[in-house]
Amino acid sequence: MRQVVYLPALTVMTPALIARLADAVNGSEGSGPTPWRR
Amino acid sequence: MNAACLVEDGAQAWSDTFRGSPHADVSLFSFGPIKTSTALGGGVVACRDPALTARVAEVLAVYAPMPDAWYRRRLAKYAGLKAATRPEIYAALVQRLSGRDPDAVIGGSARGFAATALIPQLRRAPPGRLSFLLSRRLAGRTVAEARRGNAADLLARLRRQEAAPGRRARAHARWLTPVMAVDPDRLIRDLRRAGLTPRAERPVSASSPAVPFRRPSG
Repeated sequence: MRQVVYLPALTVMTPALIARLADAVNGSEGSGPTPWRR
Repeated sequence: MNAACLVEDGAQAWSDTFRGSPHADVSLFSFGPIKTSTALGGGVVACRDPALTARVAEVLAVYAPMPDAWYRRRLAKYAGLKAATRPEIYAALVQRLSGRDPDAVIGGSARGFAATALIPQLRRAPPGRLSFLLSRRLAGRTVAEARRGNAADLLARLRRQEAAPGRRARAHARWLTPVMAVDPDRLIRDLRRAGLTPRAERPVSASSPAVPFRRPSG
């Protein structure tokens, strides 16, 4: 089961920090099944 | 017709494009320490009826102002907390907490009000410096657009778009950006190691295709 994680406020993020966040989220995805379909 | 008065809790929604719903009789906005547009305290009561505005002003006028020293202490405290949000300082802080939950420690020290006797704390007028900063906030541009732009950049970088619930919402204020993680503990660990400050929520149900994201209750 996937779980929600709230990312830190993005108000004052630099592009480098945004990239770091995205890398961390992409890295945490693994290869598990998608829990829903749209 | 009925005499119901609709009060809207606008929380931190004050922005260039939102100043309260036209359907609300009264809209409340907060500019407290942890709000995205902050004056480190204070708020706005926007009434549709000028007579009610006058009555609210009358009530507020009898409250004693907080001393200037209180606001200077507050400025110093939040300047320190703000410095701790620099990724390298935050990462070092998390190391030093040795197992204690950073959310609890930092969240506890960032509270705008003491835990007890809230109402007497509300019945105070803002000191002059706070009013000055608040009036600047009201006159200036808000940060909502920058935040939305940053959120759009982040979402565009996600490999799996389903990882971002609510990504299609057109009027999303993006105070928070939720993502779904298979291994939330690992994600939180990775982010903290990088000096970023995520918050974990309890598991949500992923069984209903009609409701892809639901904030857990209770």
